[in-house]
Amino acid sequence: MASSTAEQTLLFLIESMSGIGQFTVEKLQDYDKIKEQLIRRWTKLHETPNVFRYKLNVRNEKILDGSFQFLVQVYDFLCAIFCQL
Amino acid sequence: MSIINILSILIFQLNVERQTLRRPAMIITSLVPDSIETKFNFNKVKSEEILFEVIDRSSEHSNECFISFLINNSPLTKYHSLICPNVRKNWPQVLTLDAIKCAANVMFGFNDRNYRILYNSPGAFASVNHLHLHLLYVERTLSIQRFVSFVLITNHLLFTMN
Repeated sequence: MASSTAEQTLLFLIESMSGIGQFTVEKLQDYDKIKEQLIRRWTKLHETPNVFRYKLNVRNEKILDGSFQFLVQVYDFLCAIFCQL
Repeated sequence: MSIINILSILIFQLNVERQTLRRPAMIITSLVPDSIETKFNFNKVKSEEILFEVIDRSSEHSNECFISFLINNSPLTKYHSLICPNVRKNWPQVLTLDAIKCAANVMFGFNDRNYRILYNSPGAFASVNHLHLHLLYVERTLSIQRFVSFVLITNHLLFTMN
């Protein structure tokens, strides 16, 4: 399935039965489009009821004092703390 | 609260309702189960949980990699997804060289330091014994990124960190 341009090498095939998109990556740069698709489709699904078990909604975030500089994020259903530089 | 210790760097997650809302964790008693097909696996997720599928032929030195990208329906961050290499082969949750190559291709291809790919093994909170990695998006520099890495084996993707 060799193609000459980025648009040709990145093929978006709609499977008629499932509607699942399928991409072919011929070179790493093609992942730029994959990333765009991930953001677009993930966001769309996140807005669709009953796909995710809960919605991520960052209410607040703060960097804690101290050497580890923990990043605290408060979501509706989740509080996540990441270790920041 | 769960505490995960990775090379002396701590990542904390306080999950208020995630424990009750997420998919029930599978009890994993063996790295190589008798049959993945009969249990929950990522071929059984709802179709709307499948983001898309990728056939990666970008590597000159390895076979093509078939990757299914799924949403993690109990996300930790936005764009939290699952990367399932060759999902239809029903490989157990044991990290393989091919899976690392697939993940490395995604990581290099995305070319964005806010994306992280993580692997959690059976016994380390993996909830499904079917090969998958986590793709997370955190718009911050994390402590682990300040480690200096050294090549452990020449010409191989194996590093040690200090």
